[in-house]
Amino acid sequence: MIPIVEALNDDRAYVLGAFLGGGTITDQGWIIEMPFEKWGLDPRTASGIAIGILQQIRDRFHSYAIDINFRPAGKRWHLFPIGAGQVVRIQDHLRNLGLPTSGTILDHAEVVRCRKMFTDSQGGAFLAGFFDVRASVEASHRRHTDLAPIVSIEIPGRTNNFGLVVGLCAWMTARGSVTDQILFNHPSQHSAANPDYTGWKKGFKIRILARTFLKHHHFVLHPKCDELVRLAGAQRANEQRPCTERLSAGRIGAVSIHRDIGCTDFPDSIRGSIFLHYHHICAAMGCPFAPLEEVKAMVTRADELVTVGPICAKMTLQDGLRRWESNFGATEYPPREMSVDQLLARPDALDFPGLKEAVAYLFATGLNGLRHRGKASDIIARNRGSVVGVCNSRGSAVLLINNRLERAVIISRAGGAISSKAAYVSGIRIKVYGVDSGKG
Amino acid sequence: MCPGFALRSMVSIVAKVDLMSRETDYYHLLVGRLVTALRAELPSGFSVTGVSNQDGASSLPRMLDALAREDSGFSIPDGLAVPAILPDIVIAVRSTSGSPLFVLVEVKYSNQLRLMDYSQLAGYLLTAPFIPIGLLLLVSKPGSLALLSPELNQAVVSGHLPSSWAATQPSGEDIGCFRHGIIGFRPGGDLTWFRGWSGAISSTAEFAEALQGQSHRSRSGKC
Repeated sequence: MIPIVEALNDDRAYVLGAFLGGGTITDQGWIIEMPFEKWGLDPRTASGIAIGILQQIRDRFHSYAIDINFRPAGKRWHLFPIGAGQVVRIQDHLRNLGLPTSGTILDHAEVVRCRKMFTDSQGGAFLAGFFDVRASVEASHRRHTDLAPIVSIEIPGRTNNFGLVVGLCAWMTARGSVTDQILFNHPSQHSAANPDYTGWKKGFKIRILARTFLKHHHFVLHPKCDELVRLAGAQRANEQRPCTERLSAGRIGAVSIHRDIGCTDFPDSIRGSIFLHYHHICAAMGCPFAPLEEVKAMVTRADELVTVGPICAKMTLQDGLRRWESNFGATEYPPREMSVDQLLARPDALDFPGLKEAVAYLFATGLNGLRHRGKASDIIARNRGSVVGVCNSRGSAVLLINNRLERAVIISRAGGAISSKAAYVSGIRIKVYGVDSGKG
Repeated sequence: MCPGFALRSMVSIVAKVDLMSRETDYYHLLVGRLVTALRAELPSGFSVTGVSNQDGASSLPRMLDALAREDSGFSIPDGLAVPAILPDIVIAVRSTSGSPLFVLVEVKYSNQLRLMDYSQLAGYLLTAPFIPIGLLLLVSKPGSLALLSPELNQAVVSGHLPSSWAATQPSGEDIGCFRHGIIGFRPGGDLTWFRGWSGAISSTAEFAEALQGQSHRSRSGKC
């Protein structure tokens, strides 16, 4: 077989990577959607993108004898063929690489097979095509500090394509790079503290430090190249340790059982499982670079970490009272009042992993959505004497209230969910992957 | 103001400005890319090593010593006269059966490559004629548009600038045979070979072929 690989070259590999990133093929034709978001709306960037498409990307499409044009469409830029734009040769290559040949390519693609069919150089070009479409170089992606700027490879949550995300990350790792972190489109990751938060479907992000990306990968589109170099120039954080050497088990936090854990859109290997860390998902998906010993160590701590109630569910006062009443009954209302200092000094304070975060939310002067602005420790220090309303349930949950700012938080004791055998969500018995499934 | 604080602030500002804005900031990255690309193209049995003058060795003799430290199977042939020129990057390719072959890479962090960059490279090869391949590599500054200056472009396009040449003494004794190539590197992007210079190396595959060809020639002793 493989004559198809002989027919490939770097330019064609780039085009195929761009198709994987944003291509949709229908009977009427094809389009590649480039989700540049705010970065593509900036007039200075936009002119560079326009020139880049015509100079750098268009040239590569000539390898398929196709000429392209583009149009900005809000936060997305569209590439499309001029004239008929025969896509048959591209489809032939996609088919031989085991990739979908119609519809939105990204939704059902996997790269484990196709990566073996490229030369080293073609593989780099294929990934560059994918990165030009899918990698975000906005300065807002960072690990806690501006000194650790991140390139974020973003895959929409609607695909639920866990296999593609793990396959891409493994491919990048095999090329020498180290991934800083993966955010999977899973409630254990996007809403570990709040089991009722409905906005958790924030997509997949493969995050890699800018200098690591610069060393091992590349873009073709010049504005992305320039932005990458700017990010890399600002980086002071050291490169991340390889996944296989990462010590993540000691740093994992509590995870509550989200009500969407049994989401029917998830693949079978993911549905109904709680995951304690992103490496836990990598292991479940069979990534060869997953730190299995660390994952096993995490799983042994599952009973102290997995929690039925919310670890820290932030909301308005009105929503808090309504939810408290529906979940726990209207017991013990109006609440007892105590100072922040008294609350934090309670003998059982350490049993509630979300307590400090909750106090920071209740008293923060500014919020980004539901996140407090500024350090939690500073907010707590400024409000040690402030009054908190406290409602205890007979179980393990507590409702905290700040009447003045009309905010409320429900927090719970960590752990106990696995041994309680009470963990059913929407009729599905949940499990911690690797604990009671026998896998992992 | 505390002098220590002022000094620390200055250091941090200087470091911020300097990162990724000097030619030498890219040497390590370029050595990695060139070595990786060559390793992928050459058949098994070839070993590829590279050093830059930022790896604790600034002159060619020290760079060859550094290469020997990197690759235990590599040795500098006895009696080889190594001039103390100051190249940016040297790559050594060794087959199991042959002696090592060297590639000299002259890097320019600039808007364009110029004619004088070519003459510097050709001069280096003449003084170190055991190196058969010399590459010019432009790390283009942000905003640069063309790889070659108008003068260099004119010389290349007209065919007046040799991409492959031999030098002999007036006595007829061979000095060496040499071949060139030009590579562009947009930081953040990939290495891109210049394809418009007749007879020059214009792809990684050709680069690997040229090295394998040189490997045969070095055994036969002919250009």
